[in-house]
Amino acid sequence: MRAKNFRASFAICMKNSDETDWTVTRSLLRKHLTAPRLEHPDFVNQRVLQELERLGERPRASAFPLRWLAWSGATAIVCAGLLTLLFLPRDAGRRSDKDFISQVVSARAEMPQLSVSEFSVPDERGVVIWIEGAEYIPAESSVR
Amino acid sequence: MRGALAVLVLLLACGRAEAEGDRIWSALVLATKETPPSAIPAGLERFAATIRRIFGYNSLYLLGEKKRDLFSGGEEWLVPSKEFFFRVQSLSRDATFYTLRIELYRDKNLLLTTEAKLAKNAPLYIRGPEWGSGQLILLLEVR
Repeated sequence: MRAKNFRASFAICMKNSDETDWTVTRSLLRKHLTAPRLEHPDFVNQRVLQELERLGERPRASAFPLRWLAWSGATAIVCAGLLTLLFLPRDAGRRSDKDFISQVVSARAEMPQLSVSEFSVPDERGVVIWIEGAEYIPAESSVR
Repeated sequence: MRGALAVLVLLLACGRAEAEGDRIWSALVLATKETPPSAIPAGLERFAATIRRIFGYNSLYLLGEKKRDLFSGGEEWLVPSKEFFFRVQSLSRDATFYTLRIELYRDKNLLLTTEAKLAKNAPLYIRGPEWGSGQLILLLEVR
């Protein structure tokens, strides 16, 4: 308890001492410190103005990335549009299963002895054309 | 800017290639009944079950095959063998199928004319004549 009180009073004492020292130092600086006289004030003034002008031009440099970003965005939008037209089916509405199944619209035999019938493969997407009456080919004859 | 243009041109080229990349495949297959069944050739595995179910054959032999590009309005000769071949005319193209006029020839004789809508990977099976102890089956598929 005694040690704690000592530490607190020491801290207050140090703070007061620092503030007093700082007040003294500040008053001495005000009294004795003066700005040095410039040997070539016009030259310094000109350099300062030049630097200010240079700083004023900097924002123009940042305009380039902004323009580049704008062009990139526009190009990306055009690309997206073109790709959509290319890859998305024109009639991208709902499609029925029928659209994915092969169908025979018409079939006719071109020789009088032949007859043709067609039917869908059950439970599959394929379709069959069945030719009847085709002439038997002996095994000796090549079909390759 | 040049880089962006190059990328755009490349994308357009890829898109065009993808859009017109469909092909039609044809094959002449000999189907037989064997005990035990012979091994199904590579490329015919997808069709073996259907051929067994519809035509009743358990062994397949690939006698010839041919593949051609498909273009709307185009015409192609598909010659899987010297004896049997197709003349395929693409009449129109939808998002999911091609409408084709197909003529099947045996040597110089026209056997069959058909107009069919072939969806992608949905084959057309044509039961041809018998050959030896088996059955000739012709296959057409848009891929």
